[in-house]
Amino acid sequence: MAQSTTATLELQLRRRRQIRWQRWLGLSVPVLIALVVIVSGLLADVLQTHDPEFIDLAARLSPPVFDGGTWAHPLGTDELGRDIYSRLLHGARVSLIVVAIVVPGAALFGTLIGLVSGWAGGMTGQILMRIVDVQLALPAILFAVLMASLVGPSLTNVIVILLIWTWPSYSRLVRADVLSLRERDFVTASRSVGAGPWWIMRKHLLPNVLNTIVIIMTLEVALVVLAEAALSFLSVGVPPGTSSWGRMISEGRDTMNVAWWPIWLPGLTLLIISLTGNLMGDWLRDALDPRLRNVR
Amino acid sequence: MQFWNYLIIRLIQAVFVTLLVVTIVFFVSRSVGNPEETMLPPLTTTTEDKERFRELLGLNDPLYVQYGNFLLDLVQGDFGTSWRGGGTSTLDSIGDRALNTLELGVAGVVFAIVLAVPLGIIAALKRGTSVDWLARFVAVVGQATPSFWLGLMMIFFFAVELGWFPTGGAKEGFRSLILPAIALGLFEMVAIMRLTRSGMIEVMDTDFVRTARAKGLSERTVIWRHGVRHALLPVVTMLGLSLGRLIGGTVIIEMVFAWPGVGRLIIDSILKNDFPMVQAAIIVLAASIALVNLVVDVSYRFIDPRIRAGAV
Repeated sequence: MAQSTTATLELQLRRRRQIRWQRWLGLSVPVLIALVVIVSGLLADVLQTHDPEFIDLAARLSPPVFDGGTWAHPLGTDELGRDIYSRLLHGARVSLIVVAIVVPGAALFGTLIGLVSGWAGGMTGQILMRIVDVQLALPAILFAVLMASLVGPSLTNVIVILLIWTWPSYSRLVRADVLSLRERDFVTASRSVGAGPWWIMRKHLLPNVLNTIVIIMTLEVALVVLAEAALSFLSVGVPPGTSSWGRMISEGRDTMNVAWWPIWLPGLTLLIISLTGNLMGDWLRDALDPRLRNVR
Repeated sequence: MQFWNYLIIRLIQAVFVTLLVVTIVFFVSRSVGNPEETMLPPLTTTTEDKERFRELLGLNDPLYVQYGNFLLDLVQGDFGTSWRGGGTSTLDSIGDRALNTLELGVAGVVFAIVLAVPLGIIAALKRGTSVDWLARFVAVVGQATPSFWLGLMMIFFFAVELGWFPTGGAKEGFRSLILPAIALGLFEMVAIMRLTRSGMIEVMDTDFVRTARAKGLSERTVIWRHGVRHALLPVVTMLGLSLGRLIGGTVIIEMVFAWPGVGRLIIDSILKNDFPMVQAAIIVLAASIALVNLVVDVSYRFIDPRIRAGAV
């Protein structure tokens, strides 16, 4: 009797260990990919085999090594003979810079607006939420084209546009959270003993919405990477002479029917990266806050 | 009566939002653009010509005078005259383009719903089976695919290699609509499918579904009358957001597929500094997004009585 109980217990334990193992595997693959991208972005200058913008017409459209090419260009070259492997590395750097500025920046600003509009309510809250509506009614891509045509395409442009594009998603969710938090006992109690609005926001509201913010930030990474690529694809993103995945796709378009690699490799890279971002976001959301499952 | 109050408030808000968008575009474009540099021939134009040109278009007036004139014309139904193409009314050129964009947007939504809702329901009912796995795989990959890249790939395979569809434009009616509609609708399809699936799973687990089964209702009645109807509620809300996003998303799809819609018109006009055309087209676009959001909010009150009972 005692023996069989120990046996079932052991079986249960083993199954639980197995589930945990699977869950960690599901997380570790995306984390590994993310690390690879970060390292290749940071060390692009060291890891590159060629200058990413060096034009070598003699070597134009050479195939990748697994499709009959040589190790001189491991992932082949594009229609101007530029090395695709080196360009992908530098494309990772552009994406990394954009994500590193846009995601925390939008989170900071969006959270602040969400906190204030949720807490203040009334007129202030209404006005702030109408600003969010304005942003929703103005397709960001059009705004990007407008800015690019006025001041020329640049990385700064991309960052500004994407900041404008992404902050409202934080505001809306934070505001919704704050609206319900402000009626809770610990907040009203704090108010009744004379706590000021900033103190309450910092000590009671912010810690309670932090989970939401972190989850949206993770999910926004993929969105921002894709958006940067879309802008560069429309040639209103990074300027010519900069390697960006979106730009590479747009350039590979012309030789699409003679060479698959100039358009497939950056496209697949984009797909894998945004897949990674989404998987990590989903994992984090399930771990921290199952309530948010229907956000997107 | 309460409903009419609500409707009027929402209408005023929609007008306000549209106006604000247009104001932003008006000031941003005029503070930096130089139409006389881009629109007149560069070598043969003298300084006097440029001056006459600016005078003619009213660009020498102070900005607030220009803005006042623009608003005055607008309330009289005059959306301005294009600075190019022999002075045609902007609204005339936008008309056809807007219909094309609408066509593309509606096709995208229809594609998304027709595929997403049944797939979501089946995936929820057959949870854990291969159908469910397939649906979830499509969801994860679909959400990560860049729409412009997908569009290019589809052009390559289905238009260039196989020749089933035209490579771009809108000349071949329904056939030319299919590829752009798929590229446009995929992201929304995934979102709607996930929402349908999770809503359906949640609903089939509730007490009233159990009661319905206990009453001896047929499984079909339980699924349709009790399950699907409730699972689709959040989908309707989502649809509003989707429509807004789709109208914005058409811009890039229109560029990839050379689709003659408003998005491409705006981009072309921005590049040529045709400010009146940009303003008019953005008014149309912003107003339609605001209108869609309004219609969704109002229709939601009819579908879900709980919202009607609550405050605005």
